Amino acid sequence: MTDRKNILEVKNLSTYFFTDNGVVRAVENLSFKLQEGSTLGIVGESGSGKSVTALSIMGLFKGTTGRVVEGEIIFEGKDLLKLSEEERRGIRGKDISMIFQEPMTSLNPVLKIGEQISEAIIEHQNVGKSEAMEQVVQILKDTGLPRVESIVNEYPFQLSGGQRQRVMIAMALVCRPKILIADEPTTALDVTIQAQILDLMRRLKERSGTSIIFITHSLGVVAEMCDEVLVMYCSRAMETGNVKDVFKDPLHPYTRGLMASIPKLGERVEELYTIPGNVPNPRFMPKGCKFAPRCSEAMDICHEEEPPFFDFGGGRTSRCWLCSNGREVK
Amino acid sequence: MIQKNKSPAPLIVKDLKVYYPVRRGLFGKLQHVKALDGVSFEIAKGETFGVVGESGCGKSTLALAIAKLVKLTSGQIILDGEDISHYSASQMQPVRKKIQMIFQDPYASLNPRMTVRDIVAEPLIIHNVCKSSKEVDEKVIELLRQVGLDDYHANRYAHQFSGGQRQRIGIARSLALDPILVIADEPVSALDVSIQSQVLNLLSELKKHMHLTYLFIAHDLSVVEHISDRVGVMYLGEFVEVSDRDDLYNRPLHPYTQALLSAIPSIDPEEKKERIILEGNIPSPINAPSGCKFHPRCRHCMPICKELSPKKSVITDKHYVYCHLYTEKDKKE
Ligand SMILES: Nc1ncnc2c1ncn2[C@@H]1O[C@H](COP(=O)(O)OP(=O)(O)OP(=O)(O)O)[C@@H](O)[C@H]1O
Ligand SMILES: Nc1ncnc2c1ncn2[C@@H]1O[C@H](COP(=O)(O)OP(=O)(O)OP(=O)(O)O)[C@@H](O)[C@H]1O
Ligand SMILES: [Mg+2]
Ligand SMILES: [Mg+2]
Repeated sequence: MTDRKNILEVKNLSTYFFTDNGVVRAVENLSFKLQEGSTLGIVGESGSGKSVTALSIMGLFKGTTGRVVEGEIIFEGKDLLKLSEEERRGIRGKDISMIFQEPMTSLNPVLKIGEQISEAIIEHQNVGKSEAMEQVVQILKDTGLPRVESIVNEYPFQLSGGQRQRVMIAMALVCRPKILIADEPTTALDVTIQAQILDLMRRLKERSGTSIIFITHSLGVVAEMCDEVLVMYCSRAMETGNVKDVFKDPLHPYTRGLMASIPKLGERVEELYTIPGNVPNPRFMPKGCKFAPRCSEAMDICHEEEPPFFDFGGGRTSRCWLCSNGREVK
Repeated sequence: MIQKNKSPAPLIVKDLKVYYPVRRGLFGKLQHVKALDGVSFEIAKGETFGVVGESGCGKSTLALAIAKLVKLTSGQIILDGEDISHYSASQMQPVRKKIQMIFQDPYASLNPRMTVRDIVAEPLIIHNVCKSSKEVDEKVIELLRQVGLDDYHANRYAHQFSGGQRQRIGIARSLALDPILVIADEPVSALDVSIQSQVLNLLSELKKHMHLTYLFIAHDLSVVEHISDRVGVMYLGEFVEVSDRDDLYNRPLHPYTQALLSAIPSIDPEEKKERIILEGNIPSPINAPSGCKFHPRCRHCMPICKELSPKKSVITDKHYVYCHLYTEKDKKE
């Protein structure tokens, strides 16, 4: 890896939900690093714990039964998990901000767009209303929204999906955060609007050096936006590494399965590849590797013992017994 | 596959318009969102017709209009030789089973409190197609097997299934009545890639075995390329280009189609594509631009584009486009 410093380091994170029907182990012993000024993509099966990882970093479990049960989240040398709620609120929205998966539910329907965004500014910066509103107009213009002067006086329902998403992005960026967590920011959008938004995020990254965690189903978006990638399955990290390396030569059979499943432009096949089987029932988790029951390359040991991480240097790791030629990490 | 034989095309749509009335404020002027503004096409038996286009261009409205779930402003819908454009709700009742819909969100479209058996059996019972409850049970099991689910799944509740399995249940239900036309509105958009490929394969397989005809709406152009025989590109309530799949992807003609195709992210991190970023937003369907509706965002905009809406230019018998770049020639002659 280059000598850039890590702005965020997640170490052995486990986050559980304590529901009436038992414990949901949403994130299990997860570790990764985010380098300053770089973009990390998180991909993986639906329900694999991507959003919960983001919520753990934000510390947003109010109203749920969720709780970080183990691990450290080091931001600028401090373990966020050791801070008070008060201190975390000061970081949230200012140093670390997030774009949520559903823009509809995360905008306040009865507040005008301008008011929603200026609220965040007033909370974190020592400025008055009119100055805040000037900043709002500027950041909305930066996102490429048309007729900004009128949009600040409109309500969320009056905007199209793509416009709403850009408002969310503006809101997340208005305090120039050091880390931006974007959870499926473009999934609901069509490719042309997606391209506009990716372009916007790239420009912001160049201009303000923001580090980004980008959660998405789209491997194409990862290839285009991210420097590093983290592949998750069943609450765990399966593979990490530089995007170019991982996409060119995926080490983990699950990553290979994901790459093979997507229809590729210009490639006419009768049938798409599918990973056999389904995600295991959380109540009957396999004893060994969680992917073993679906893995065509599984060996005896895979069904018996969960593999550790094997490290190949440069951030390249894989949780797979086939990779046991790498250096083992706990 | 698109040969014209004796039996009528499953679907013919002629100059279809759907305008939604909207009022700005309590006493505001009544205006119309022109969600569909003159759409014509047909789908041949056994064909998959893919529809792509920007968010808000009218794709879902097209699906709803064909199923007569929104009021048509004008135009014709001919289903299996029968003109249903003016049918009332009661006249639609016997026709309804011929058109089935698969929706985007498998989580929202199934009732979590019903068992899988009840969900799949419901249309069979409503339309009275089975003689006994034993026959219903048999048919349900047959349908579940067709979509790759097992007998023992029948007694479970929908919420106990994964996204891909739920989408299968929805598909089993939509096939219960041997539909003439299956309309799938973003059927895989909410699914992750590994489940997406399962559902796409299932749809192709069913099409082969049951000779189904699909209207397939999606915003992922690689998905549409994979599944479709023919593709229509929509912009602001109109088709701007319609073609057989290969020609459309190899030789996109409309500047909007070109922009769409250039915007698809590639999974090869080394590939740096030249991307056509469309400036500005999709204009309001209430006050659509004059002339060609795409002209304010078009790289090739010419004076005529602002004044005159382009006529259909037939490129081959399977490929046509509405764009002045391709009509200029005719005019000079
Ligand atoms: N509030 C909650 N209470 C109980 N369980 C929860 C809660 N939120 C999430 N979970 C569970 O935690 C696990 C991880 O969920 P998460 O939302 O992180 O998945 P994801 O990877 O973001 O999936 P998707 O791609 O579908 O968004 C899932 O099994 C989910 O059901
Ligand atoms: N009930 C309604 N009343 C008023 N306007 C409507 C209504 N339903 C849809 N519209 C408008 O009609 C236009 C077409 O909407 P439609 O849902 O068909 O788009 P779409 O192509 O399916 O978009 P998406 O890709 O986002 O699903 C949009 O401008 C939308 O705002
Ligand atoms: Mg999520
Ligand atoms: Mg739609």
